[in-house]
Amino acid sequence: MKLSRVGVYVILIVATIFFLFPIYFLVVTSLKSLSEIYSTSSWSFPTHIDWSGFVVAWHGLKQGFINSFEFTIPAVIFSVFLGSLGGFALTKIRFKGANTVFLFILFGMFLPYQVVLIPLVKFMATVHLYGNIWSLIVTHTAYGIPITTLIFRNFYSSVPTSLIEAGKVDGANVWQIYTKIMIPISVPGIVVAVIWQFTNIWNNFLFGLTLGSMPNIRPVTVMLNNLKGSMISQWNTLMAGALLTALPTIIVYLIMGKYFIKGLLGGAVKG
Amino acid sequence: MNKRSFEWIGFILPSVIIVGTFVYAFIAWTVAVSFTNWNTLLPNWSFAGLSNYFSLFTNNLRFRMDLINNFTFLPFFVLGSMVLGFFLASLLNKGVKFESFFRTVFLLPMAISLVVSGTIWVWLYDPTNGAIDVLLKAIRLPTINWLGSMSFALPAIIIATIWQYTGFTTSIYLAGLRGIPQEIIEAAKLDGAHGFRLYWNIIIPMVQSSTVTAFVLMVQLSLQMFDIIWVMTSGGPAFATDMPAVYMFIAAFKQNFVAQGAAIAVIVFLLTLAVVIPYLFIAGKITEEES
Repeated sequence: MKLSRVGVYVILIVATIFFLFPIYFLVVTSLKSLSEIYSTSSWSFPTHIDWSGFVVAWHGLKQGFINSFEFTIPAVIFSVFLGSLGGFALTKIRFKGANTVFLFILFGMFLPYQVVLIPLVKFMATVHLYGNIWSLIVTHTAYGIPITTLIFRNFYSSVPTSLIEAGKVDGANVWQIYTKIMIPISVPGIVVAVIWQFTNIWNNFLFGLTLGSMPNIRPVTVMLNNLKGSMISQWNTLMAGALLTALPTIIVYLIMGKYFIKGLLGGAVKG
Repeated sequence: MNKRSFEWIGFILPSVIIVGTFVYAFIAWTVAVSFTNWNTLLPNWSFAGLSNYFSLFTNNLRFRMDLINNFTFLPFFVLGSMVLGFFLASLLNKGVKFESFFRTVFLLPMAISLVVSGTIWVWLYDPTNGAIDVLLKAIRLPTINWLGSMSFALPAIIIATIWQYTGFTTSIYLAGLRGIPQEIIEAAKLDGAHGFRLYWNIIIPMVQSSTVTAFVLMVQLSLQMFDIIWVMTSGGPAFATDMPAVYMFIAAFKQNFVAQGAAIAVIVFLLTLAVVIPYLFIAGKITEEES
């Protein structure tokens, strides 16, 4: 592929336009008044900034925001903690069958969620969690374990075993080695896992749609989709709502993009 | 052997129990239900044999359309995202300026919920004042009611999905390309391999593991496609964009055809296994070799 320097940049800029043009329309439309959306071209800049879309969207999505934070934060903490425990055991306490146990857990990463959806609902009803925020916390924790275990297993593989041996010599037990030695050096791995889990859980739709039948636990993604049904063609409100829904994960991505890519590849390429 | 050799149990047991329940036991439960007559509001565990599967494959037009749609969607999406991803990764690997800017932009859609991107794309495809039809009008081409059209709705969704996931394949390929030792490229160039031949004979074989990974992930995503379809078309118009995962949800949770929904879920699951099991087998082998 003999491409000139200029050719390379031209193609990269065309690709940039392809990836950014939906974002342009998202932002521009969200700042227009409804009348302007239908009187001017959708390509034009807003003639004056109109926040009414945001006001209406925020009113409709506020509870969803609270709900999403309420289950996302605990589920991130639990799944990252369990993944770190598992990753530690799989790499640093060598035991028979560790690889089998790893594959047993890893398999969950490729699970089509459709195949667990019906028993999931029945299970939550049986343990009286259906309609409770804990149903979403437990669900997102459970299905987050495979990826967090993988991330920490890859991370701990690169930690020298001599550190553990030194701890053993000092008479520390396994739990002390984990909390005193491993956790402090795990910060980069924790950041990767937290960002990945936060993005995934915040953006999730299917579990929210299935378990979030009550407005007091319904995630913001499901509420945005409902807004789409009730505000047909009110594109300023819908784009404002979409922007608000995307904001937490976009901010995390723009600040911590490096770690986001690591999480992405941690699950894709052997690290 | 000292007492420490059992301490791993405390660390890994919680995860094993949770995954055992939420993954394996739940799968078994769904498989069991798919063999019953539970196509009613109230549970009915009477044995139905394979009848739920038979009816899906023999006299269910919707499911037949779902399979056709899914297997039309799959090659276009998988090939589209992989070819585009490889192409963009190759360009980024040429030591360009602002590389991290381009990477950040290409991967941005991956940080956004499919509900958000679906909503944006519905607006872009809007037939009255959507960005795409406005553009078509400006260059004097006939406008298209993208999502309302039997023939254009599925391609429209494929484009939106490629937009969402191409940054992912780009990242996978970029990591693969970065893993090729520079000496090999230089040696090949000295032997006269340039341009297309360099890519075909050297680079593409060297990123084979990236290709396998990207392929498995994209196929798996295709088979489970739900969110973006639910948000953009709900499977319409007239099931032109319906997929098994969408039908499964409707059957199980809206129509109370629980056993039928379970059967669809099992079929989606088996299709996924057909690509994931060989992949895990390969990955497992690599893991053993390393340890």
